[in-house]
Amino acid sequence: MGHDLLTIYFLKGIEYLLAVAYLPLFVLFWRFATPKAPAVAVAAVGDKAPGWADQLADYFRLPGDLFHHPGHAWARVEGDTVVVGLNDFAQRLVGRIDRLRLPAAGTELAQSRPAFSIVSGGRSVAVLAPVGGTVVEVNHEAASDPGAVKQSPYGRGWLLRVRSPQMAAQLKALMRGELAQRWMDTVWEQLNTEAAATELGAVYQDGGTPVDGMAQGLSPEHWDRVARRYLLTEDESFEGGSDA
Amino acid sequence: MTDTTFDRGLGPREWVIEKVFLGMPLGAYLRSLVTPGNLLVALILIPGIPAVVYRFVYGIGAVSNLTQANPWGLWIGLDVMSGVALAAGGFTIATLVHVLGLRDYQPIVRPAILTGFLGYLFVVIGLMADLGRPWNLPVPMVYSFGTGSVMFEVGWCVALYLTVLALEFSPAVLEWLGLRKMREWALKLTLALTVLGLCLSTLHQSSLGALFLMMPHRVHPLWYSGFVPIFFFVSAIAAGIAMVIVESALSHRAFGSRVAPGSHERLDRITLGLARAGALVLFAYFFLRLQGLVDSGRFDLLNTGYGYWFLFELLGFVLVPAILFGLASRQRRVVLARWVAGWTVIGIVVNRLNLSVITFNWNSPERYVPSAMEVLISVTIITLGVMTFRWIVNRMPVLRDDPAFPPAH
Repeated sequence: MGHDLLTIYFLKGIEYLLAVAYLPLFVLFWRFATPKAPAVAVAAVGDKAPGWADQLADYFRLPGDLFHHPGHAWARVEGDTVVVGLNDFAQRLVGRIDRLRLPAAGTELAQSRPAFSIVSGGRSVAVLAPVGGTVVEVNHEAASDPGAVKQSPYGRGWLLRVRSPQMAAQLKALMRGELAQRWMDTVWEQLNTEAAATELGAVYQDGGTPVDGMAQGLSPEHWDRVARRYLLTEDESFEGGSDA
Repeated sequence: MTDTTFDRGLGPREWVIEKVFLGMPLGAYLRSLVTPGNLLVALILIPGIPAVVYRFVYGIGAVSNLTQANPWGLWIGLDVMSGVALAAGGFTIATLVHVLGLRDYQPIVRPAILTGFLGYLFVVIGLMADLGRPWNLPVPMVYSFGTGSVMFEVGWCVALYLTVLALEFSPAVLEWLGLRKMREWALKLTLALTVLGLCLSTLHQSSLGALFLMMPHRVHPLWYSGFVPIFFFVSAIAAGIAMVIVESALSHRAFGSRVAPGSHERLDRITLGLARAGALVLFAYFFLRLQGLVDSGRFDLLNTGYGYWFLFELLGFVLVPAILFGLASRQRRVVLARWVAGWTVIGIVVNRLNLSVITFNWNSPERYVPSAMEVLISVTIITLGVMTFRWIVNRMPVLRDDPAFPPAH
């Protein structure tokens, strides 16, 4: 096929047709390659609380500079010690905190073993230690006023200062940054799915803010069991600590 | 977080044991190296390294089937042309995360940049094997600019981009060395380096294609087009995406102990997102290649042996993977996405080999077939690249964050 005038017009014509056909085909292909909407329990939750998925991202945002234990305690490195506290999710899960049973200075903690407990309405829920080591300081302010944990869980509501002999190795077992945030999102999603399934669903107040005492919303009779399940202390008994 | 260096207090001997020998004494470390995989590597390198030395001592004629009529062979087609395309994952993923702000892809930035860096490093080594006389490298770089040459542009661009990739990867090296301050400085350069990397990649990915514009008589008309530079650039994006999918799947399998907990599920989501991107890029690339075919006006050549091969490449390695990537994304089939990515990687290599080796000099009576030494040297260079990747991933924070450092983003 030579490049005479007619041939060039013919070829240019095909090129234009191709370019024009490409545009709608690309739109169709885009739609083809788009994942189908997931048909999971999310929809059921959505019926109860419109737009929860959008709001999810804003609740329980974890500070990026902290290490997080799956039992909802956090750890912050300060010099050669580690400061430990309870995260925002855990304090909202439990709701009202009557007392905190914190270990005395000098107590030896083991990572992922019960470190302290929260007492509410006569029931007690243990919390696992994010790191092991010797307790060198107890936050007496938070111990005497548990409200500090509720108002500032990552600040003045810190609970223990621990000197850990294997700090680097222990911190490696904890989550941080984006990984921790995704874990938190998954936990939150799980709680909402559970709320929708039990039709108690009171994890939100109007407007979508998580209510205080979500565990009680889920199970008023056995809220401590629910809390223990999320704090991973279902099979743990905690005898240590002293009432503050 | 306060400044806590976990390396504090390590003596030089402990430092070497901890950082280089993975916490094992020398004897135990050497014993740990005796594995079936390393045996295979030894079988390649024992004849391979002397072959590379032989090539530099006795010249290219002694080891290759390259001639004046066929000056480009396996090293250019596979190690350079394909290597550069497959190393495009570095700029593609860095741009996605740092320029377009798709933070979900953050976990694969470092592996992608490391793959890019090593890809380019071994492209340069492959190019050195082809060019010879490495001591002449400063000539075009410093005191004899051939500004009219496409190779000048490619040479400078690759050198600059290799530097950019080294700097982009430097935070991981500095974390490994425990150099906190320098690492903070290196992190501040991230955005600037990403933008620079995007510019440089656009330039040299396309100018590798532009090399063919200078020899339309040597390239088969079905593959030749004035759009070849654009084809090279667009297909490099697809190659980079496919390579990142393949590399991350293999890394997660091979370096399971180095992967952050919970990251397998995250990688599945990332893989499906990349599969969708790959589908769209390949779909656009397919239409561009069709335009190239129409522009050549040589439909008559489709009904020849080369024509069938051309159609097989265009349909089998471009349209089919585009559709299958789309299907994998649509139905959330991660395993399918990984197989299609592997197929796409092969397809891009086939495309580069088609242009630079297989259909090159299609109308010449003299055909080029690589010699055994050329194949051995190519395999040796690729093996060295994979070994270097493994050495680095086993020591530096590439597949997961170092807990001693706040996330680098």
